[in-house]
Amino acid sequence: MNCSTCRRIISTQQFKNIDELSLEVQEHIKTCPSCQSELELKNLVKSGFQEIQELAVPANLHFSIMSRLPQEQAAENLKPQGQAGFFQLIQDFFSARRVQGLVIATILVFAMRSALVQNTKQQESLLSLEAPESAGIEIRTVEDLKEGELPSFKANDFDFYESLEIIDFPYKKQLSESTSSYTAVVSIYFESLDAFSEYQKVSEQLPEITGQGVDATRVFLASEEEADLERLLADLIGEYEQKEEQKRVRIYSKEKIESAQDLLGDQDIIWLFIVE
Amino acid sequence: MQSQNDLDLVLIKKFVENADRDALEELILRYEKSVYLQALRLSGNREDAAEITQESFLKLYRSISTFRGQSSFKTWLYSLVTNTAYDFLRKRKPVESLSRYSYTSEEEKELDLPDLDPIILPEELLERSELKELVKEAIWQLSPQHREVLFLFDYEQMSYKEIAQLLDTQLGTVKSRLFRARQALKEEILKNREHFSGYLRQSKQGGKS
Repeated sequence: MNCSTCRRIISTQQFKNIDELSLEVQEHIKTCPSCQSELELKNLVKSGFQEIQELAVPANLHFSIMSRLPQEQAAENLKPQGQAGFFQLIQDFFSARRVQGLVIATILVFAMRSALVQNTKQQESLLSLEAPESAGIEIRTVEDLKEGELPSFKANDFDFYESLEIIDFPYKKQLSESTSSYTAVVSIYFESLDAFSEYQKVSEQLPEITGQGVDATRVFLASEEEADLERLLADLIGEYEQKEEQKRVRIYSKEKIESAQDLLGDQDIIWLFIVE
Repeated sequence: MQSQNDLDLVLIKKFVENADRDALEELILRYEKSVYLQALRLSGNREDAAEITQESFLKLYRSISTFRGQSSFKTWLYSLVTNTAYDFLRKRKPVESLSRYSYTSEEEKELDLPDLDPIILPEELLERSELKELVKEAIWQLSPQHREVLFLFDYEQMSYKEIAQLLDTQLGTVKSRLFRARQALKEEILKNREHFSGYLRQSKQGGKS
């Protein structure tokens, strides 16, 4: 076995482990530094690509894809009674406002008891939740939700939320005296579309900057503990109903929200993203 | 149990026949990450990758009705993304660097493995941690075609034949492209190593002054 043959085998054959190669090749590799180098290189190329494959996609990727698609069905979906999907609303929002300076995105967070969801009348009161005029927010959806149903969010939706860590709560509404259900309305304001784009860019870098102390607030997001989640939920469920003032909270990933189900007992948590 | 491709076909049918956007969205969700990563490998930067991904799905939206199922949807999409990426990069890059993004440059047309002397990396590069960084950097310095063929062969563990089918090219082209990709990779590693050493020397000198 000479080096040239051995290197060619290493570089042109598919094998996962060296013991899949002939004994002759294995023996040669053991004693030959340059063939070891060739093998090492092959492995490092593989692990280099592995790292690439593990890179996070931009938080807003799905949203940006959907927003580029033609909007044929959008007009119908925009009707308040229509079956407006989550992304249609987002798309309509951005396609309509691409040229405007001010971008306001609003996230509604509902923490509701299952009983409430089953109560149509009370559900209607939730649907008719009125936003302050000054905020210019119109709530258009929720009709989509059937009894006990959670919005069909997919993991990617929450990737988007995860990058949004500073949220203002401009107002809240307690649904009725008889229920202990609360609605939190979360708005993210960007001064301009450029600011929003800039934010998106920063968000994309999130996995890279966390842990390096570059951005304290985002580092905090990455190192969030369960205790913090409990605090958030306490905010949503307890303190929140008593406070009118603006409040800062953090948005959590889907996994964290799911894990919070335990804390909420028989309550359902519904996340909605609504835009104006 | 439905295969991945069967499910793709169901979603495509729903979208094409019933204009079912949910089906389209699900199809997109199934593939957006792999499309983005493919675009990233081809473009070498995140911004372009995101743009290429969006354009690819827009193209998909417009042309999915022409998909006849002769290949798997995954393969069809792979080609669509490849073409979209090269179109995008050709538009974006200055004329002189077009060949870098060209699909069939002259060197690729050789069918036999070239008789070049393979580059042998110096033994001291076996120092793994350094080599690892150099390899990662070199991967990004390769041309998109070279990077992709290495990815398909070394990471995806595809055979020459499978790669040839996927890239719609000749078996010999795949072989020679792979060979050249490895050569180019080693050249980049050596180049980076010089820069790296130079940088270290400079740092040391800077530290003393």
